[in-house]
Amino acid sequence: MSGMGNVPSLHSDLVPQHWATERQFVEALAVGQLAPGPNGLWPVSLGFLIGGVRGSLFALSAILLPPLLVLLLDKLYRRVESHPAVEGFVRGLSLATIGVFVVVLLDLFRHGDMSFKSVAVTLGTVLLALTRRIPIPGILALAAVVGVLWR
Amino acid sequence: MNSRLARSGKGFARRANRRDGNKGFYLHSPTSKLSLWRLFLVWLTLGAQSFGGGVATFALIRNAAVERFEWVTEEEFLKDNSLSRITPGMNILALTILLGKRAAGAPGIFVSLAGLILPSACITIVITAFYTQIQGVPVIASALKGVVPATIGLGLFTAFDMAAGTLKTSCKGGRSQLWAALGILLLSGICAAFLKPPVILILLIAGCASGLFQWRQTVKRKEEAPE
Repeated sequence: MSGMGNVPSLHSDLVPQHWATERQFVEALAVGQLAPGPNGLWPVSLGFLIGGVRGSLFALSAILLPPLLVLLLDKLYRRVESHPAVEGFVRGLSLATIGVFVVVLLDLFRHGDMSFKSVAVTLGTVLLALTRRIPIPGILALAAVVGVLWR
Repeated sequence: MNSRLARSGKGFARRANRRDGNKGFYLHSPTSKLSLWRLFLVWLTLGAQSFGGGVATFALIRNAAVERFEWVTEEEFLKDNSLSRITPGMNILALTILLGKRAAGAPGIFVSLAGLILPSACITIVITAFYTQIQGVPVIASALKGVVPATIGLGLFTAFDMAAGTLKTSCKGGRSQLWAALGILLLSGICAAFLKPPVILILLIAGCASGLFQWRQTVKRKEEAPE
């Protein structure tokens, strides 16, 4: 969910207790969008606003722990891997992931400004990427330039 | 030879040159210092370049792991991706962990996470510290206005690539498999769009449906096969 999946629960955990202000929350989210890397790092920003470098390190380690469970999942998966239904299961999972992913993307698009400019940039990106000649960071940089020049 | 290709980093265009049997440049010494360092650098550049959110990061990761450095096949990547979406926590991090493990075992995990997160975390902290100054700059806002739709375009392209790969594999299993795959793809999208159930529910139901279907197919094939 573009790193925003934990927004509601973190908000209700931190703000009513006055461990974080609304303003810090909003600011952290914006920084999360602006900074490179996964969007989900916005809690690091919030941690910094609340408790300096120590706060951000604390938030970072909290973010890093749950995904480690995937190793356990991986082990379990390897044990059942050879069963014929499992390959089908994973394929179904993968397909559904792609389906849901596309729906989320379209949703995000609708939440944007949906101007002619946005549509053009989106389509242009797809076409450029399909050529397989331009590296992805290049495409994004180009998009940034287009954003600045085309008002 | 592979390290030269890895260093050139010319993206997609290099793919054709790599059909030499070597499965990427970690093959010979998966935990040697040199390879770990390379792995770290790959993730480092990834982390530093992925403006535009999780979708961009995902696209970059896939591009690096499956196409540019080829330490993972498309199928393996899809498997890791699926697992990472069922795990609690950020799926990008779970994916990084799995891919790091494939590249170089336990040290690979550490190095991949470090490479991905360090630049982003540091830059995040720095931006937070200076946020009030940056916020007003109109250039940044306009640049973002360009990058956000581009990220979505990138996501659509990545989805297309992944779907094409999976459907191709389904094709090999025969017509009915292909239809089943298309059906799952479309149904999951429709459910997600209109019913909006929790995502993991859709994933698990799709997985079970597909798993059962696959099982029946295998059983049928066994029955039809000449003894």
